[in-house]
Amino acid sequence: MIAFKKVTKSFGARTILNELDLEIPQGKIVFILGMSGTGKSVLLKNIVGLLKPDSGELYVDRFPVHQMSEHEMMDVRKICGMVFQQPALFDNLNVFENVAYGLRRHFELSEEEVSRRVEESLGHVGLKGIEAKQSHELSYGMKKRVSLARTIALKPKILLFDEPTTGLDPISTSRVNQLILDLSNQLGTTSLVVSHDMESALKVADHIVVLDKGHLLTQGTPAEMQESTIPLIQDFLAEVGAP
Amino acid sequence: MFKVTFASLLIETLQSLFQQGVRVKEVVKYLDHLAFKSLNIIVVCVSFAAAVTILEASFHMKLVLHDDSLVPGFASMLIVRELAVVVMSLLLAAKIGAGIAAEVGQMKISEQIDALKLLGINPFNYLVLPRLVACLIAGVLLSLIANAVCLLTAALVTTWSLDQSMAFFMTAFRRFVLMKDLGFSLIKGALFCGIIPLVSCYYGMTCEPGAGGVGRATTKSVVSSSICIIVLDFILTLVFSSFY
Amino acid sequence: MIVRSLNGLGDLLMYLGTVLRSALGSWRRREEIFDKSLLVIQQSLATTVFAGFFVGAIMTLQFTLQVQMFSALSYLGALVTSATVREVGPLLIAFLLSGKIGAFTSAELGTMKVSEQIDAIRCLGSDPIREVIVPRFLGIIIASFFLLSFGLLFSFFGGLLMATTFSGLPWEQYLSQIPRVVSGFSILSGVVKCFVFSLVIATICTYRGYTVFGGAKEVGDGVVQAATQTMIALVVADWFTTFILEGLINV
Repeated sequence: MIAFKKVTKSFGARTILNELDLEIPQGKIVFILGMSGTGKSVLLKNIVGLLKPDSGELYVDRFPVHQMSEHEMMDVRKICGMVFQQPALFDNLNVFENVAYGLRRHFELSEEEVSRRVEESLGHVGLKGIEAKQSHELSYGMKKRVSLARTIALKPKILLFDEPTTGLDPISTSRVNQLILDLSNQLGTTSLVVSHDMESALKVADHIVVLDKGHLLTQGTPAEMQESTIPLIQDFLAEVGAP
Repeated sequence: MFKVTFASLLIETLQSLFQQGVRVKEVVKYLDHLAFKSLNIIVVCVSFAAAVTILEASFHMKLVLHDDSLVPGFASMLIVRELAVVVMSLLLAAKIGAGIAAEVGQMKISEQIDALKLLGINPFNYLVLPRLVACLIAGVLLSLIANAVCLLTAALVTTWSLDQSMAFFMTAFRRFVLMKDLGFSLIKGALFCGIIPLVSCYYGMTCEPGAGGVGRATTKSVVSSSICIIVLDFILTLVFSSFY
Repeated sequence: MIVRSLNGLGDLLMYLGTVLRSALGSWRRREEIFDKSLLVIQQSLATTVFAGFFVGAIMTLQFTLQVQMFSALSYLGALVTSATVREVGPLLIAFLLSGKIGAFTSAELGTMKVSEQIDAIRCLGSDPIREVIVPRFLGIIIASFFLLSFGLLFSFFGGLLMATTFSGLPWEQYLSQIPRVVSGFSILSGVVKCFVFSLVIATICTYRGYTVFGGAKEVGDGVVQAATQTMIALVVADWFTTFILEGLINV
């Protein structure tokens, strides 16, 4: 479970998150929607401690993230996997070493165990047998999936996705969506997906949260969203062509 | 897509000067942008360089001649003939060279240069020429300032650390530094600064896509402009030495 | 503006402290550090040798004109070598290196930063300062120290070549006065400067790259800042080192 209590985060004069209150229930797929620049990525980065809230409280699975040091955050990052907006693969390592990176550092595993987990995670994203390739040999869509494999190799209880489908073609998009569903069903993972892709949200999400200007605008199930009369949400729905 | 070589860049830019002229407004804008904004770092750097020169010159004079009364003359000669302009130009090569390469490279990878061509605007006239003219003018003006600041600091350091009077420094300066030294210094300044936008625009226009591409273009332009300046300095010093 | 620069300086020193603390335990990463320094040397050797050679040549040209006024041409070799080793050589070659290494490193690190690789390292349970910065930082120090010394060596050859061709001074005469003027202390102060400059280049360039925030445009801006700030820091460090060394010799 993740809970935001009056969390504020500013960059200089720009307030990105403004006293945000939000709870993410366990084991669910939650989509966070909003226009560009409404603080969606900032929200995710606060959860794993890449950014620190200016004020307010933030709990991840009982860890009080807002008052933990960089060193203590390692425990949170073990259970909280983040899939970045960009593939963020390490240029100087091959696919195997990229996926094994977090395994080697977070856990003390035998070499066989590491290879087994790498193979398993690459299997999850449908990319078996490319372990020896260098990251520049892969297409953008493949890079994003390797990046996902790198995160799920740690078997996190919570998965954070930063715009997982942005820049992907429709086929890759539906594959990533299917993957989020599968992971949630098979591993019982809580997934928090930041996106502006209403179409994916309606298909995949258990729960949708809409942010606007650092505030919670509204939240509810996909069905409730489709009934909504709030102009911003209707604009989002019109984009998808939903009934 | 359009291909650029350094030679074609030079030729097209000069050609466009005669065909279309140069837009004075742009030149003034870049003059402010490139020259004026670099003034403070140039002043800081040449001042420190001058202070070191005096310390070093007095060290050598004491060692060889056992007397440091010639320090002002020698130091001011070295400053005007060489130091002020070279330190200034290398600084500018990093500051405005990298700046231009990053800016033009950014335009190249976001396809703005192709867009210019489609709009019937000559990118050499639009991008390179105003920067070139501005840098040539800036080179002369900044050389003057750099020389003045450098000499002033040298004079202050001399009075402070060598117990010689300001008047003594001025007399030595007038005896050792000739008018043509200053003239050569300004020519050097103009040419050193002129080479920077040419090299940087070239690397900017041949920039590869992505954040890495812009980074590489800026690196190459800083290094190549600096090397060009040093080689040009060697050639000009050799040429000017036949006038003494 | 002064307050802002002091603030920036404070951040920089804190960064340097963190890096040095992390560098303490880096002996076991020596292979990676060695690889990095080899890479930097490979990339910059030609530039440095070239620059060193020309700096020596230019100094000879300038000094020839000056010593001829006093018909003291026999001192040429000694003066050029001394001035180049103690002062002009390290400074100008470091200027070029700061362009080359600085821009390269800040661009590389900046790209890693904006493509979220640095964040990914943190999320995957590691410390980017230890993993990414320290090997580069130490690699750059080793490499630039080597490159600067090598550049100085070539500036000596450049000076010698110009003296024999341009000034018409036989090489025996050029060399003969050098031991009288260029003392061990001069060479030492040249070496100390090389070391200080290496530290300056390594610190500022890795710091600028590490603190980039944004996209491709910001990477470019970071590179510009790295190169200029390194140069400013170099001249200030140059003055400071000379001042201290001068103080030591008078004691």
